[in-house]
Amino acid sequence: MKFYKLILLALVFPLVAFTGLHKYYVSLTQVDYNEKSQALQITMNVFIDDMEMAMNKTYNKSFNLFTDKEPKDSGTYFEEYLKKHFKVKLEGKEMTYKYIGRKYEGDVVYFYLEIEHVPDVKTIEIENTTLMEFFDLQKNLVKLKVKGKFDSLMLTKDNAKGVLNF
Amino acid sequence: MKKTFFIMFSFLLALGTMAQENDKSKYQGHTDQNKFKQMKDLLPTPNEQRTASGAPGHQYTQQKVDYVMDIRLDEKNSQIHGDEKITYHNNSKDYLEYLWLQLDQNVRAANSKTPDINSDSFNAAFNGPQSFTKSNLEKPFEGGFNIEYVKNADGSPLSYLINQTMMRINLAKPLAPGETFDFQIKWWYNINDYFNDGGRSGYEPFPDGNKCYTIAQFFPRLCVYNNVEGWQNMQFWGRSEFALEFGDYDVKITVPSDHIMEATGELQNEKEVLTAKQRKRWEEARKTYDNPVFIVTQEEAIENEKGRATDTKTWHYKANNVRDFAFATSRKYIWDAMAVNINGHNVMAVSLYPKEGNPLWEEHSTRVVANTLEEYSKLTFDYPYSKAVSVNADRQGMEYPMICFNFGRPSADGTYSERLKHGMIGVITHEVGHNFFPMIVNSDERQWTWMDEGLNSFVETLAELDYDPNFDTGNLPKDIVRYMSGDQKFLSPIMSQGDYVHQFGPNAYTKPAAGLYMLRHTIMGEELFDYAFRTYAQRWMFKHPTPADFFRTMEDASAMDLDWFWRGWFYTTDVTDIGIKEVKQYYLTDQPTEAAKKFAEQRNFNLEGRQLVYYAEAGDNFDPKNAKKASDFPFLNEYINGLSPEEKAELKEAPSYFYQVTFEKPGGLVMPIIAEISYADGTKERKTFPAQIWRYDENEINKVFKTDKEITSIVVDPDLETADVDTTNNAWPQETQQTDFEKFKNEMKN
Repeated sequence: MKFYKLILLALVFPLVAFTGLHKYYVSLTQVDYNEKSQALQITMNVFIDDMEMAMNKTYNKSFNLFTDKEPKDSGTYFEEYLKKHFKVKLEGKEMTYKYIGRKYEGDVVYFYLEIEHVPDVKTIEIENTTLMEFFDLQKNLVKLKVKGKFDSLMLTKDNAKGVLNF
Repeated sequence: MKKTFFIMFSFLLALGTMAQENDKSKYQGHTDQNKFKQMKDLLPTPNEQRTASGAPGHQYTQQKVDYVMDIRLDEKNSQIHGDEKITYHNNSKDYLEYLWLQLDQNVRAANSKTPDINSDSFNAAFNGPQSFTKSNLEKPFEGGFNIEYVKNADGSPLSYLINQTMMRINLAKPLAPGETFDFQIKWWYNINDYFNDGGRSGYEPFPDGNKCYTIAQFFPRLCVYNNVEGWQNMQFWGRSEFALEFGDYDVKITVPSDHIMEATGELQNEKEVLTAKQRKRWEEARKTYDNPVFIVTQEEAIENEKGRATDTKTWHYKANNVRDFAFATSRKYIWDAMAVNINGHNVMAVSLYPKEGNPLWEEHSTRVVANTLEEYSKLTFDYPYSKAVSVNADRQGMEYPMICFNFGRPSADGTYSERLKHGMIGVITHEVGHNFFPMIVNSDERQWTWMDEGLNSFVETLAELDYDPNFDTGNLPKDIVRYMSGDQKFLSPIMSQGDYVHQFGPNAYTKPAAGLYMLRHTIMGEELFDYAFRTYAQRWMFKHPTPADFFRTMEDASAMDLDWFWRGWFYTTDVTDIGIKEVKQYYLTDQPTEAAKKFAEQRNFNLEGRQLVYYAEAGDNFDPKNAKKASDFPFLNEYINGLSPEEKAELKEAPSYFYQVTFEKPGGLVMPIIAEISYADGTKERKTFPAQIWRYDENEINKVFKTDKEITSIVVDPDLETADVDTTNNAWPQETQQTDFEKFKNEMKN
């Protein structure tokens, strides 16, 4: 059979009318500290189907992502949605980030976010509840690269934030 | 004496703990941990049934099971009733005390243990009225087989036992090799609403009360018996699929007379169930190769679905040498078909869909079926059956011999996104492709999901790229990076039984498909790969291959040792990460370098008065400004001039640039190194070093490049062919590589 999410969906969220095809519930966020430009550069990728469903439900609107019918101002909604679900704290202080834009590739949408004027990164806390309100099995993987060191967080509904020290 | 020795020994022991530990680690032995270690410890010993070359051996046998069935659909009560006569052929050399059958429907029985092995929690913080009712007020579905009788051929009762989804037939006396056993089973079950409750088969309800039935796993089916698993009677928990024997089917299916049906096998009574018009259209379809011909048009289907026939019709099918049987029936169906020429043999590509599937389905389904049969046939063997049917079933994607159920519905206004279209083309290609793996190359799905899903996803990828070269298949090496670079806690090796693997989709579909793509494209090359892959498919068509048979055939037919690849990619969760650690440029000089002096001193060797060409590193007491060319060394010119004309003719131009590149491999997998070298004049060159370059040192290796032109940059795996999980170390010099983030940011600015 074609393994597609609906089978899982049918078990955990039976009433979403939804068609789509992909194989697992994971988003991946890459957080890189760019020492040269003193900026925390964040790329989050999420399956378009999932994101579209979340946006349609949250804003009660048809987003038709990656089609001619996608509203011109979808970026504003993405930004608002992300600001609600993706949070970064540096040295215990919540940071605001700039929503630079989004790019579609295959069945995935990439969001580009940036926190500027970051002289150093020692303690970073990341919370990512993106899509968790709709998919119980959603896993949000966050990979960090700071000052040549790598680390990662696997965020789930029960454990949606994590702290790392560099 | 003994005592003294003992005291002394303890004393020494106490004193020398530290030293001893050092000594211990110094002499700590180890077993063969090399990445190129052969797979003798992982693969079963070859035998006369399965040879070391990966082919079936001269003693290979397999069982055969024939079914004669009378099936009745009770549409009013959504029940299915069956009378089943089974002939079991014991072709093995073993005496069988019992037979095992699969009762897959029991996964939905009230006493099914499948819900019991799933943990549950209050996932949703709230429920709407509809979902509250569904999850709290609805009575459990009364699914599962109701066995009315199990009888011998003569009508006498036959003893049996049911253990969840498995049924044992207790034979009065063991079935001898070469003997056959006839018996009969009568059964019925309530058909599930797969659309709302899940499942691979069942019905999809429509608002006007009509239903589309896509029916499979609907009759007690024999388990596989072989010398690999004995009886393959591992329980069906709902995920890991099926293991089935080949056999001949003779099936009569009775449904309301206004239904349109497709099923495994050839229709035997066209005259009784089709109108003269429909038969004429079939005749035309059998001669039409370019476009689908409608057997039932949309207008006819819309008219037909308004009625509710009370009388019935019986559709009669026969199918030889198939491992299973499935059918789809409804009064809603539109029906189209066209002929495909597979190497001179006519095959029908057929689609069945309700109007809700249009305009997408009439446009693509049958054409995708035809393309799939052509492409798969090229890569494996000529499709041997007479037809392949794609049935539109929302939220479905499931395969059976000659027929499969596929999703893909446009919005109510008939519009659809490119993604939906691609999803639908993808699922049809995939499910029709399953005719090859596992319907014909009949691997054990219960044990090894990847053997059918992975191989099929791989061929699917090639077929999709043929249908549309820009198709985003999602099965290329770059597509598996996200999964492979994830938390190791949620990864399983491909070689794991399907019921417990984490992230089933990427594990059993994408990763093996991406791995095979990499083998074909990057490691073996198309010519070697395609021959070996075709050999595997042809050796095992209509047989039961195991992973070892696949691994062995791919090596045996290609003269490539791929044990390192199978071991790494299939048996571990290791990742690819290859990078450039350092690039050193060397220059020619006639002055002894520090390194040369040290080298000479260690060997008590005097450099003075010697005519030598020294390789100097910048900074090694040497300024690159003083570098010489090969032609600047008089003694070298003299030597060359002294050579005979023939010897001179054999020489080439001396290189001008000398580099030593250190490649590092933080990842656990060994892979070829693909290096793209850019020169100062703007040209580029590719160098590929086979994976065996890592055989002595799997962490780091050096390579010398001598060139006529200055190298400005080197990039490892520039086309993302090896699933490298960290590309930040792939380029030299590093700063020339703009990050994706910065590239995107700049694009947005402009």
